[in-house]
Amino acid sequence: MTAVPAAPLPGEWPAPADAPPLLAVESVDVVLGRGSRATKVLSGVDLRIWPREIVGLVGETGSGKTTLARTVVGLVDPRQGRIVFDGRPISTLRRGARRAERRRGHVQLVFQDPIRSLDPDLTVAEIVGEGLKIRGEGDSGEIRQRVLDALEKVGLDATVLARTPGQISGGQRQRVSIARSLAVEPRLLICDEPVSALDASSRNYVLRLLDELRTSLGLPIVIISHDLSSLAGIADRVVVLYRGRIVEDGPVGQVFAAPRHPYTALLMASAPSVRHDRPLSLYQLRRGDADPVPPDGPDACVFAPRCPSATRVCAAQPALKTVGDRWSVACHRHEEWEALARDYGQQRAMPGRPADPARGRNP
Amino acid sequence: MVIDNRNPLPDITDSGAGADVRPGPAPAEGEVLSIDDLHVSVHDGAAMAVRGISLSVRAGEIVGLVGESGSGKTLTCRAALGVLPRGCAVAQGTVSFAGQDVTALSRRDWERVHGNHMGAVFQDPASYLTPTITVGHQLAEVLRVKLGLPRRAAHQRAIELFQAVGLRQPELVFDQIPAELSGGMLQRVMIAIAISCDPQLLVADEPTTALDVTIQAEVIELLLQLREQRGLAVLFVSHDLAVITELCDRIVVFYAGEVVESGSAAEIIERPRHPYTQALLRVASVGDFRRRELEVIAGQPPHVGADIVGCRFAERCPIAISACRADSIQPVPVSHQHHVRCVRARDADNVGELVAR
Repeated sequence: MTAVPAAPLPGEWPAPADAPPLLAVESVDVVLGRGSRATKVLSGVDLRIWPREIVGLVGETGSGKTTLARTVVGLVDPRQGRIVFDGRPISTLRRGARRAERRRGHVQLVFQDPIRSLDPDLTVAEIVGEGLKIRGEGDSGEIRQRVLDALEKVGLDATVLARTPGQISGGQRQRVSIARSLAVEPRLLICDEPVSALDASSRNYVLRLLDELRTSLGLPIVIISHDLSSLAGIADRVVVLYRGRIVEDGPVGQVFAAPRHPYTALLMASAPSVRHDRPLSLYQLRRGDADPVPPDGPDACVFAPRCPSATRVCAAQPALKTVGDRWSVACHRHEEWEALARDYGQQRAMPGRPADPARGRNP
Repeated sequence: MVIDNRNPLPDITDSGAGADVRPGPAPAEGEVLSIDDLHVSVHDGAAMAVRGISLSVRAGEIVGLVGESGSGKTLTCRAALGVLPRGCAVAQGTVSFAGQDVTALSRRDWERVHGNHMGAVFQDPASYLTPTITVGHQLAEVLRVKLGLPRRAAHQRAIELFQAVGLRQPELVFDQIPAELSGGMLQRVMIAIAISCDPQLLVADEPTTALDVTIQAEVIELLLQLREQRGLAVLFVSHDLAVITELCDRIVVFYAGEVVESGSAAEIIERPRHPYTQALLRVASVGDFRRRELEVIAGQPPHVGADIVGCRFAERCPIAISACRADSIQPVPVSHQHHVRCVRARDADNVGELVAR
């Protein structure tokens, strides 16, 4: 129940190069479904999380972000590769040991939609205290105190204890969800789209809260999000997933200043903004109908079908290559595509879209 | 890329879409929708959630409503569509569509307006489609019921519409059920259904909120394209000011059931005068990809229907003075078509600028 004393972060990022990672995801393949329905959801994913860092995991629906999170907490078994937590391989544990590991709750998952992931019939006190009860630690008085501590860390007080999730606001619900995870004193927090359903102000509040938790508790946090701009505000590192593969992984500042993968650039250009000063426009980053047919086939680069600069070399899936300090990219043309995209700009700055064929019905 | 498309009142007869606009009661200055002093009560009249909203949408114009959840923007939309939820009612004010008051329309009369004159898309497209029927069939059915098209023609037209909203391989999509399509494709199907009978107005309530950013950008482009080609007027609702800015010609800012600021998108973004709009801009995704302090708006909005004398934002306002709480505050014009509901709207120290360092 003792709160970890707040130690200021020495040099926020990077963590010392020789420090062992807290979590290592090693060449993990995940296949969901069986037989003819089997789908490879993650392919050769390598990811390391060091203590005290905030890692943003971005990618679109179906890219495998949530599956990766579920694999890390042990809800999904990798087909290949392994998950190592604090030096201990946990994906190869036997059932009993694995359950004990899960109950210990070192890795906590905060779900996307608190209205669906919190039991509507339980009070906030019961929700936050449930994990402690399951572990059978402490009497009811002690649990209550720890629940209050956890709520305090997310900026809530005893007034919400007796309320149910339906009786508090969306932002408060998400904070309760985080408090529930914090109550069991996790060593790694994974938040799956923690803010996508919130107003801008509540979104920033929750993100700041996560940043504070990292500072005060030294807690490493993985944030799955598609809001790149607010991620950039707090994350140290960004990992971009596309179709089950990591295509770019690097320090937030450097990646967002000059992305090396065309998909990262496309994500950035797609992010809505109140200003219009994007370095590259969507038209420069999307395939046009006139572009040559990209290489196809089971071994081709996963992004090739959407990539404006795909050529014959892209018929083979590129491996993650190191391009800077802890910065790696999976693109054959990571050095050339940006210049190519700028050239496209001359040709198709504002393409005349094909006329609406439906209009022809009144000849 | 969006700014080039901003055209306050495109000449619809020139763009070729004029032929599609139905001759109706002559609307004032091309106004398609005009809402005047709208009050909407909730909880069977126990509270007033929308308090005196006035706004208008002209042909070919995209108007964005922005505000926090619970600010009344969705209720305003639903009142305009005549589909207020149970327990909610228009308590005062008028909603005119193409010059005709629609607040008192009967259910049967609404049937003629929906689809034919007004289309709508919402946040979760899957919940508005029947899961077991092919999407093509669902669109064709609308065409047959609303326009009386024969089976063949409806099929043909449905495929044309799918193509018009950017669905590749429309013939294939026609025979698919909702579960076989992605969220972005489903939203395109919903838009195809919404525009199938060539409505003058499309009401879009958070249509991109549940979509990926890349798909969201595509849907925004689609709406711009439909406006360009058909002179479609759009009432667009979002809590994300950045999305609103990408799309809209005019922005209406809602706070606690009132309009606190309205004006052209450029005015609102570059010279926001209401402290709430300024706060919204500070917390919005400003296209900044650098590490920075994320700002929040201190305090909570008042409860829905709370009785407050004076400014409803005063509790959270950094520049509130005693005059703010003295009397009800009326919107004042600060420049052409830019209205602000703030006693300090004209004060020199309240000329906000886009906060982006």
